[in-house]
Amino acid sequence: MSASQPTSLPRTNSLTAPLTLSFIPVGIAVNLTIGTLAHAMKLPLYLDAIGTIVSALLLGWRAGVIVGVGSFLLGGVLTNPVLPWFSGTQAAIAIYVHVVAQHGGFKSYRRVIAAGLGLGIVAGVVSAPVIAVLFGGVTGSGASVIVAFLLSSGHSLLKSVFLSGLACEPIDKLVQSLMAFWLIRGLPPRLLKSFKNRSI
Amino acid sequence: MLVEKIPPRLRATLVLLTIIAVVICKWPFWLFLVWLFVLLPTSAYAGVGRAHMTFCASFLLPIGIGLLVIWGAIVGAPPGAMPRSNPTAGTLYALTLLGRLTVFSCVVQILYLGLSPQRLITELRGLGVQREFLLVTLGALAILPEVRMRAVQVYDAGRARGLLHRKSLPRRLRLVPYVLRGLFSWTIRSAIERARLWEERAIVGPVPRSACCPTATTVGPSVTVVEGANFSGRTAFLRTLSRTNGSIYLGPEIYNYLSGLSLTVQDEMELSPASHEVSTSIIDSLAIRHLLSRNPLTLSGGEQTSVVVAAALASCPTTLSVDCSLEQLDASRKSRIIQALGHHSSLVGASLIADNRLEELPEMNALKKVTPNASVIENAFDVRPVTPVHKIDRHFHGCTVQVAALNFCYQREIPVLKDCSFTLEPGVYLLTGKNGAGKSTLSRILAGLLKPLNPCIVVNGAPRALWQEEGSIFCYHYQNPDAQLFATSVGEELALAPNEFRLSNSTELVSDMAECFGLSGILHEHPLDLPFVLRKRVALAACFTSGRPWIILDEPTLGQDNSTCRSLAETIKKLVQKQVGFLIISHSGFFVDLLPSRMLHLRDGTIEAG
Repeated sequence: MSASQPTSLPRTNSLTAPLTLSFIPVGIAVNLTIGTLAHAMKLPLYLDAIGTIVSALLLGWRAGVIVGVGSFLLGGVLTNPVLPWFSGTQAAIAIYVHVVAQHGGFKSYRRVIAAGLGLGIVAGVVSAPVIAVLFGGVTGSGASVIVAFLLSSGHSLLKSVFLSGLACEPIDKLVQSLMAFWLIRGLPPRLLKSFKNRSI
Repeated sequence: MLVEKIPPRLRATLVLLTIIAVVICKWPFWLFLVWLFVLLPTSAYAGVGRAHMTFCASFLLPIGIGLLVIWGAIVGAPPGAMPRSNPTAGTLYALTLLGRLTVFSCVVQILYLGLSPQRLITELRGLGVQREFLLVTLGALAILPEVRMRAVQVYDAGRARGLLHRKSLPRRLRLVPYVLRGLFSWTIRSAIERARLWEERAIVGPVPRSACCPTATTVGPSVTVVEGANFSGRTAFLRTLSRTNGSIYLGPEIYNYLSGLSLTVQDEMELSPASHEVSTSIIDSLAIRHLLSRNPLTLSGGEQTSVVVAAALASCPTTLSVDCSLEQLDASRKSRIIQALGHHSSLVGASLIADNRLEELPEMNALKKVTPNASVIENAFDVRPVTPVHKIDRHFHGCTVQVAALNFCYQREIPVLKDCSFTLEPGVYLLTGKNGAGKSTLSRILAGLLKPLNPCIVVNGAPRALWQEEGSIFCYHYQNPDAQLFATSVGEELALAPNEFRLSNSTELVSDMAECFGLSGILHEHPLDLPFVLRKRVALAACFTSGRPWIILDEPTLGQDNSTCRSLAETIKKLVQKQVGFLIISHSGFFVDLLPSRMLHLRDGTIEAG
């Protein structure tokens, strides 16, 4: 590099901002701890995307995608080997939440209910092909039994997976959206101001 | 360790080969055998993820197999295969799918989780992974145990305040949201604080600080004391100073100033750019060599302070501000830190210390002192001075607590408390003893957080099982206020315990205490928005409104100036007249002298009455 060229300016990329970098592990921890807890308590809910939703709302979709994908990759090694294959669903969740929040979908509890139901459909649609193609319908979760039941009653694999997804996902994602919204509402208002890119 | 000897490229290739092998493999039985006879023993030998493997074998595997059997029974065969009713084929098919994933994740665990974080960083960087990505990964690995510890702390703090003491499940569930939200807000607060620290210590940021430290001689006296009372502008002064490039600010809640990226103290030191020799001399001067292999999160407050100061010194800052972080330390550690700051003055441009009651240390008088100009400071909060409470209308039912031959030990460890016997009558007791003598263990037993080995506690003549009614006799005020703040406003926080215990005329008690602690102007603020001094006051006030006959105060004067201490002592005396008892753990000689107290000295796990 010649001396006449300007020295590199400080990066303004929001992803490498210290706050984003220190928040991402927190988001991953929220995803994994609550998710593992729900898994261990054999709840019919996944509850493994609350951190993703919170980060997408506070820091934007890129951070949300990193939290979601990161927590599922890490979770694959630490807790449940099935998780990494659903990273795409997590990315879709982060992007959906960001877009909806930009249009005021996370302003009040009523809107959050609508947004959460929509999120469930998105998540169901995105994860159905993965479950069907990669796992043949078996993921080791409670929903696998529903898939098995639908399969044995004569539906095609993709259709069974899709139907079972639509039965479970919206309730799960509704609960998760509400929890994320409630947690952010409880944050100290002055602290909330440190998140410049928040869409809530 | 064997795993560490594998070269990075071979390691990456092995993972790739596993993926291919697992995808090709069609025989679940073989996968299962590989898992059982190769991977499981390897992980046991290498000590990698042993806990996780046990968890898998004892918990996940039976459930998984159970589900697969159900699956096989219902579906009968792989999708698309004929004939449809063949449970064995269906189960085997499902087993293959799960076996692939399990084997893959096991291989990754053995190959990568066995590495030390430092090794992991160098290796992944060698494979061309970005630095920021590594930091985030490390942070995520380190934060999982941290969140677990914090969850336990917040839950215990809620129990110690008596918020969860009811036996009935619905009442307990009603308070779960408070605990969840408290934990979340506290963790986010720490994340924000940490982001600032990472920048200050040049762990992240546009321009990494060069590894060469200034070797020039120091300018003037190396350690300066910043004087002033609470809200005189000390913290504002130091915070402003730390915004200049390359300065580090360390505040009173010391655990927030650990990087949160390291699993051992050694790693924490290596995150700083100082050379090995410099780090070694810093470690020796602060006497933390014996802590190097420990997890910084599990250290005591005093040890954490030493580690944080050491890591900050190794980052070679232009100025290093230590704001009220030293008060909970015993005198010898305090003077060691101050000496170390002076000794390593070649690394630091200037060290500034602000703290209350530093004058108790003799060597303080030799240091240079500055007082920030208070007229320019404007407070963001409507804070009033702490005033002794005028009158207390409430009558408390005084409790005499007798403890006879209390024994306690943590699992599989040497006894912490041996045959402790003492009687507590309403009044002020001072619990003293060295670090690790069992002061906090005793407090936790009295608060009902721990169960003693033998039933030995008698309250007003009747034996009580305090561990079944946590926080009902003793309300325990933690040293760290952040873990025990749950509500979204100061007013709600003060009213939590009175509502839970259904105290009559609790409104007056709450408003009296808010008045007394100077909080009446900020009742609508979020407790976690306040500066440390005020958070500590809110947590104290919340204990005083709980209406319990006994209050345990762990370092109540942290961050509080002398006039606040005097008012606090006056309030305590007033409450003692109303039959409230106090058990106080404090390192501040000034505060202790203000109270007419009796001594309970813990030595080697037994009480020596003084």
